[in-house]
Amino acid sequence: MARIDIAGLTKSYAGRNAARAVDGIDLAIADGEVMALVGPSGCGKTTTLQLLAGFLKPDAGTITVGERVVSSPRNVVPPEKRRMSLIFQSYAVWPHMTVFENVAYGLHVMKLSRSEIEDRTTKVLQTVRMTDLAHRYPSELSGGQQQRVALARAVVVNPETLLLDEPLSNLDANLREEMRFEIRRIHDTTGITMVYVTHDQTEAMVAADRIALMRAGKIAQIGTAYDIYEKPATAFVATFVGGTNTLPATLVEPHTVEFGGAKLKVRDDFDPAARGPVTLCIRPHEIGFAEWTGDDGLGYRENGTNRLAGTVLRQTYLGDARDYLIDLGGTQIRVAAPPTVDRTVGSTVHLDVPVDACRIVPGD
Amino acid sequence: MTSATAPRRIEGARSFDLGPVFFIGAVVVLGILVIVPIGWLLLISVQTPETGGITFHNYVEAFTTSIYLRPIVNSLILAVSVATIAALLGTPLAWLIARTDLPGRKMLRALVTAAFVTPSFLGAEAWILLAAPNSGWLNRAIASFTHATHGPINIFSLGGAIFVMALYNVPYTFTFVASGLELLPVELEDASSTLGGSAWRTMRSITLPLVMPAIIAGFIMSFLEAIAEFGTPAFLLIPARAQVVTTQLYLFFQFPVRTELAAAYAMPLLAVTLLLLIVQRRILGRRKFTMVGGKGGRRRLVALGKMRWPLLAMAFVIPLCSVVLPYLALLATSLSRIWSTGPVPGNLTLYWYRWAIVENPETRRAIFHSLEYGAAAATIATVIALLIAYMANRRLFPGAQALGIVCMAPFVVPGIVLAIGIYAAYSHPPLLLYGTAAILIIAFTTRFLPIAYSNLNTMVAAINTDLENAARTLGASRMRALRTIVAPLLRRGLLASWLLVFIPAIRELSSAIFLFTPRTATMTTQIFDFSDAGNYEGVSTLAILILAITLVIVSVAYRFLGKDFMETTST
Repeated sequence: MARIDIAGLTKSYAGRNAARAVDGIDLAIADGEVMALVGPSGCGKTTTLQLLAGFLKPDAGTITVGERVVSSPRNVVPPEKRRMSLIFQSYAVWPHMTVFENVAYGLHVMKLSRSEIEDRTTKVLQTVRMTDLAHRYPSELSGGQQQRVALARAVVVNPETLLLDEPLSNLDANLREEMRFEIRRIHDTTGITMVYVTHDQTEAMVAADRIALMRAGKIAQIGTAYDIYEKPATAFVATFVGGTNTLPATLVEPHTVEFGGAKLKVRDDFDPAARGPVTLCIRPHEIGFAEWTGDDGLGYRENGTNRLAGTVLRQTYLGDARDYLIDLGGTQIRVAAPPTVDRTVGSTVHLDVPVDACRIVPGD
Repeated sequence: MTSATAPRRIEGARSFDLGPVFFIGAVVVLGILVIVPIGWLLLISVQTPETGGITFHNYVEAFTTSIYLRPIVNSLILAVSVATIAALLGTPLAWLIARTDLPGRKMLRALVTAAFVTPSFLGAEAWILLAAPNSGWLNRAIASFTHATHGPINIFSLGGAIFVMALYNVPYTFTFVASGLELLPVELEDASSTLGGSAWRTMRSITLPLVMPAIIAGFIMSFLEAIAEFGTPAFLLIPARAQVVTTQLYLFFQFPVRTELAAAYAMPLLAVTLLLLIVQRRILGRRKFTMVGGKGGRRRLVALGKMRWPLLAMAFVIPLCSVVLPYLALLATSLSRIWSTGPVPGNLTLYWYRWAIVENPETRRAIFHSLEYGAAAATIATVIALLIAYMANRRLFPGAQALGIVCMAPFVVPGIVLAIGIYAAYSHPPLLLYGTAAILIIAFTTRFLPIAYSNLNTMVAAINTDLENAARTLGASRMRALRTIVAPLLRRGLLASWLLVFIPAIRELSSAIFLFTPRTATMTTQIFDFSDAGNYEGVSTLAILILAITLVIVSVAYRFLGKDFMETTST
C-alpha cells in the first residue's frame, strides 16, 4: 500500500490541435484512499489514469508512489512493474480464457505454486460470487458477470493501487447501483488505494472518499462529496455536481449582492478587493413558491429568505415534482417544486430562497 | 366479403407488382450459372460416356491407376508447403507492419497489396525469366560470378512452384493477421501488462492465441488456393513432368477428352474445399470477442530499437521476390527485342506493345475479349447479386434465402472444377455453348458471383428497412423505394461489386483454359499459348498489360471507394 503524489503532471497528444489533455495537475492520494476523478468527457481524466498506469509518458511533472518516482518525462516504470491493477471500461476480459484462467493469469505471471494459484483464485471468485461460472468463457457471461471477472482479476494479485476506468458505464442502471457498493465493499475489506475515473457524479459520491473534479486538463476542485456539493469553488463545479441556476450578480456589501435591482443576502463572502461581478448559484429544489403580495418587499426579508418575482414560462409535471422555467426579467431560472404546486403559464409568481441556499462563486 | 376485397383488387391491378417476374428470372439465371453445371459435374462422374448408364468405374479408374495417384500426392505436398511457408512469413510480417515502428511500413503494406493483386501465374512467368536453369537472369548472373556452366536455381521443379506460390499467398495470412491485430482491443494486451506480464509473455499468452484463428484462416485460404491453382503448376511443373491434380485434369482434356474421368478425379478437390471452408468458418466463429464499448485506446507501437533496420531488410525480401524482381523482369522483357539479350541499349524497344495492341490480330482480339467478358460477367453478377441479396434480406419470397445460398455455392467450387462442370453441361444440345463467348462469360460470372453477393448482401443488410418503409409510408411503391432510396445508398457497393468481379475475371486462367477456343481466346489463355511456344516477350507484354489495367482500376477504386473495398469480401 502506498500514497500517490502527482506533481505538475502535463501531457499533450501529438497532432494538429496540441491542446494539453492534462495540464499541470497536482494531486495527493492518501494510502488506502478512494479518489474519484470526475469530469465531462475530454476533461483529461482518462489520460491521467493512463499516465498513472504507466501507458503514457508525461511531458512534464512526476508521479511518485511511496518513495519511488514511477513516472517522469525522463523515465517511466512500465505498467508490468508498477503493481497497479487497472479495470478497463471494456473489462478487457480475455475471450480465449475461461473465467478461472483470466483470474489466475496474474498469479501465473508471479510464478506462484500451482496450489497457491488455485487457492487464491478460488477465494477471490467466491468474493465476487463467480464460483459457479469459473469454467465458462467470457462470451457466455453477461456484462455484470464480466465486470466481476475483471474486478477479481485485478484484485487477486494484491496490487498496491487499483485503477478503475469508467468501470460501470456499460452496465444497466440496477447492476450499476449494485456494483458501486460492491467496489466500495472490496475497498473496505482490502484497504487498497483506488483511483476511480467516472463521468457520473453519483457513482463518485458513493464510491469515493474524495473527489477531484476535472475540467479541460485541470483540476477544478478537490474535496469530499459534501464539500464539492455544498461549497462549489466555481460555477462549473456547482453546475456539474447536482445542477444549479447561475445568475449574474454584483457583490456590493459583505454577504450582499445586487440582482435585478434588488439586494439579496448570500451565504458566502469574498475579500473587499474581490467585490464586483459574481455568479449567484441557486439549486432548483431550494427555491420555493410564495403567495403573491404585490411588488413591494422584493429582496432580502427579515425572515431569512430572499424574495424574487417572475413570470412562469413553462411547467412540466414529472410525477414526483413539477419542473418550472421562470423568467426573472431577462434571466431565466429553473425551479423544482412539489407536484401539488400548480401555477399556470404566464402568471406572475413570487419565489423565496433561503439565504443559506444562495452561494456565490467568482466570475461573470 | 366481396365488397371488402373488391377495391383492393383494383388497387393491386393498377400497380402491377414486378416482384415475381424478377424472382423467376433470378431462379432461371442461377440455374444456368450454378445448378446445371454443378449438377452435370456430379452426374457425369457416375456415367458411362457411351451409354449414359450409372457406374462407379470412373472413380475406380481415377483413384486406382498409379499414374493418377502421384499427382494427388504432389498436390498435397505443394499445398501444405505453400500454406505453411506463407503463414510463417505472413504472420511476423503482419506483426511488424501493424504493431511496430518498423520504418517503411506504408511502403511494405502497399507492396503486399501489389502482390495480392498479382496473379501467381504471372509471378511464375516472371520467375522463369529470372531463374530458368540456363537462361534465367539470376542464374546467369550467379553462373558468371562462380564460373559455373549452370546456374544453381531450377524454377522448373516442385520446389520452384512451392517458392513462387508461397510468395503470392503471403498476403492471405498477412491480411487476416494484420486486421486481426488491428481489431484486437488494445485493452486486452494492456490488462496483461498491468498484471505484471512482460511484453514477451503478453505476446505469447494473449496476442498470439487471439490471432491464432486468423493465422489458421490464412493457412486454410492458402492451402485451398494452392491445391486449386492451375497456372503456376502448368508453367513450372508440366516442363518438369511432375503433375499435380490440376495439371492432370488439364491432361484429361487433351485428345482423347475424358470428361467423365476428369469429373470423378476433381471430386476430392471439391470435397477438400468444402470441408476446409466449414472448418475455417467454425474457427473464425468461435470465441468471439465480447468487448463492449471500449474506447479502443491509442495503440502504442512496439519500439524495435536497433533491430529496426535489420528487420526491415528481412521483411523487404518478401516483396522483393514477389513484386519488385518479377515486375522488373516482366517489364524489361516486354521492352526487349530479344529477352535473352537482356535490357541493354540497342535491345530496347516498344515493338512488342505495338505488336500486341496493333499489329497482331490474335493478341488484339484477346485483349478485347478479356475486357468484354470481364465487363459482361461483372455486370451480370452484380445485377443478380443485388436482386437476390435484396429479396433474401427482405424475405420477399419463400425460398429467397435459399437463392442466397445458391449464390454462395460456387465459393466452394475451385475454378478448374467449375470449368469441368460447365464444359460438361454446355458442350452439347440443348444449350451448345462451347466455342462461344457465352460459355466464358458464364464461367467468370459463376466463379465470382459469391464475391458480388457477399459484398452486396452485407450492404443491403446494413440499410435499415425503416429508410425504405419511410418512403413507402409517403406513398412510394416498393420498386420506387428500391430505385430512389436503396439503389443510391448502394451506389458504392454496386461499383465495388462490379470491380471485385471484373478484376479477377480479366486475370482468370484456370477455368478459361478449359473453355476457350482460338476464336474466344483471352489474354490469359494467350499467355499460356505463348509460354508453351517460348514467346516470353509476348508473355511479358500481355502480363504487363494485365497488371497495368489491374493497378489502374485498383488505384482508382481506392480513391473513390476507400482502402478497405478489397478487404470487405476477403473473409
